[in-house]
Amino acid sequence: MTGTVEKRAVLAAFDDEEQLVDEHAGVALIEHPFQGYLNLRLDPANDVLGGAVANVLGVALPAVPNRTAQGDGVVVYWLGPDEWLLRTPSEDDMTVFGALSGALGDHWHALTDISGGMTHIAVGGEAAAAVLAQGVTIDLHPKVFPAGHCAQTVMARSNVLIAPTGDAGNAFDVFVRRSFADHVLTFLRDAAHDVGYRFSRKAL
Amino acid sequence: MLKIKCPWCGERDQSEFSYGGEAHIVRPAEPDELGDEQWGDYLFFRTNTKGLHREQWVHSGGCRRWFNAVRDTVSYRFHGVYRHGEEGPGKDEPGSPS
Amino acid sequence: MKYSLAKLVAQTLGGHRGWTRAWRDPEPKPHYDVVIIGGGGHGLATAFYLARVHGVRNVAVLEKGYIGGGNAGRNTTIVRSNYLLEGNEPFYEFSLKLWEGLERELNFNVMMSQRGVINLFHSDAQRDAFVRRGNAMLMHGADAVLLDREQLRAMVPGIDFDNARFPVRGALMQPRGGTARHDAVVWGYARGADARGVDIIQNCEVTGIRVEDGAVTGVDTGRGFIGAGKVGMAVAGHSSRVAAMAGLRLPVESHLLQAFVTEGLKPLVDRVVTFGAGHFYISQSDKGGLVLGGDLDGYNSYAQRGNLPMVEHVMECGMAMMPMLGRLRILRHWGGVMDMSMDGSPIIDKTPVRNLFLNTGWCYGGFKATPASGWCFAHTIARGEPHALNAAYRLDRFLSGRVIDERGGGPRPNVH
Repeated sequence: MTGTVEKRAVLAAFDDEEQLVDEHAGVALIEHPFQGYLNLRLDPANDVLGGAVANVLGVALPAVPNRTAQGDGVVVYWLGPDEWLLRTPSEDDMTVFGALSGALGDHWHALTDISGGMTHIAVGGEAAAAVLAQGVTIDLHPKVFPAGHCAQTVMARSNVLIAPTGDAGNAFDVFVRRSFADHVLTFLRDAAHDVGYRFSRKAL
Repeated sequence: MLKIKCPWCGERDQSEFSYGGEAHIVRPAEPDELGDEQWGDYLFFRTNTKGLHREQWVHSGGCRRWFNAVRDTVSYRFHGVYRHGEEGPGKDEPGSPS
Repeated sequence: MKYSLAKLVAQTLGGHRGWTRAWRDPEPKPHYDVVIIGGGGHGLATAFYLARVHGVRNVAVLEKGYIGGGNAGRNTTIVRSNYLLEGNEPFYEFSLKLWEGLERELNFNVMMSQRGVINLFHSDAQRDAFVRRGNAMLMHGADAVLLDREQLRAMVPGIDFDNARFPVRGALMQPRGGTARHDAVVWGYARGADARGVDIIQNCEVTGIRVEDGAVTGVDTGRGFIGAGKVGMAVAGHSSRVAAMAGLRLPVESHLLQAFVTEGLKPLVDRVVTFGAGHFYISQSDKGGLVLGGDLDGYNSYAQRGNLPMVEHVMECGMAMMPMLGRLRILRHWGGVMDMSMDGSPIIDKTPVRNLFLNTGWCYGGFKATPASGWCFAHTIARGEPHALNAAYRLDRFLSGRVIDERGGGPRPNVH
């Protein structure tokens, strides 16, 4: 049996819903679908592994907690002292996965493709921090949470990873597991009710 | 609201953490060798300290790592946090592991 | 003084100037046959039944503060016997039967109100579990009724029956369950015990338990040493500390439970209702305030005050069950220290120390147990052996594996 199944973005169900936009719309909520996500765990004390990974990614794994690193076509987020999230542009491109698997070889490690399990909502606009702050208890001010930082936290009862994408305090990436994504987006729309929002999706 | 200092992530709100009970209760290496009394003591009996209490927390809403803390069970003040395997603050203080 | 309608009328005509103290304020004697540590509901009930049932009248109840100032004054006053397990249900049903005759026995109005306790269920599986529980209750001589949605809607119209996540399918109800006035229970037992010769000694904190040759000989207190033939501990959240004075370690953790009262309303909820999808329960006091509560704060605590995440959680559960609650103001809010046992069930037993007896582990279910707890503890102290009703509440069950785990939560006291 042959046939094609069209890929459906995690938050596609929201496409047809009414947008709350006024002339001062405070936030844009943009889903970036179909990216690749890899979870990597290894022993940070093993310099051989660290070097091998840096060769593949073009950047060292961040050792300082809650920091990100920009590599060649991959963004690395610190998740734990022996755990990182790697984000690549496309879930269909297994280049990084293959190269890492090869480099890590038989050393103790765990490399897991979790692409289907995540989605990414970019929250931007002058009210972005104010909207997010309704759901999280961490301080989002760029003085303490500038670009290059990230934080796993709880937003509206859901586990999320948040990373600012600039130093102006008005743009953040939010990563959330797909089964919590509609709840989180519903929460964000609710939180943005007073400032106005537009939900859209980044074209492939 | 408690503010808890994760040894990796720094100070976060209590709502990001889950509680894991009294710390430094070591699972017996040879359970088969134990009598009912020792196994029951390991499983069910606690010091239930009033005052400085060594206890486990997990940063479940953050980096998902377990760690130990010394907290006053009356004032709720944290006297320090430390990673598993570390000695922790105030070795001579009440509540320190024997 | 026996209270009666005639007495009330006479006192009213006399300007209420003739009422006398309900109990004495005696100085401690150097020695008692039995000393009860803890002047809460359980301790006072124990003293009462020691005197009334067993004729042991040379008894002192030592209270570090004022009687009923601990958990007896910090609970949400619910009375029920809707348990499943063999070790629990006969005990709690006996307790409910004592409640039903308590006002006559104590000659005191404890405001017992058998308004019915309703446990909502939200799924087929939960209904099956409640049917099983209801049958267990019926087999032990208690009462239980399964309500369908329409019967329930007629009784408690304010519930959100069609909640998207937790639709209400029906409920298990115990019609004989209800509420009682917590202070009145304490005062009633105190008055009854005092009238039978028991000394109730307040502001008398126990600071040590003296043990010689493996047997207890008395207690050190803020008011000096008091000798005792037997000592019973009934100190709720502080059990571990008091037991440690006699060198005992307990299968207990102290945790904090919060409770709330809203502004007064006209009659709105005339039953006790519990939410089956989250830990939340609600009833309405005679003054009109809604009395509500939920889960433990979750970490060891002796603080008698709660924290905000659980406040939020309880309110969320409440609004999921009855959205109208969102319009109300919370007027009062407090915390009590619960002695959470490792299987969620209490301990009424002897201890390894001769003539020292233990009553603890009530988790957050101690209030409804007050009469039976006192009755069984008195029996255990007087006879030196447990009664059949509390035979399962042994301290050594944690060593023998005979735990009574209603919730099936395992040895994690913060989930019972």
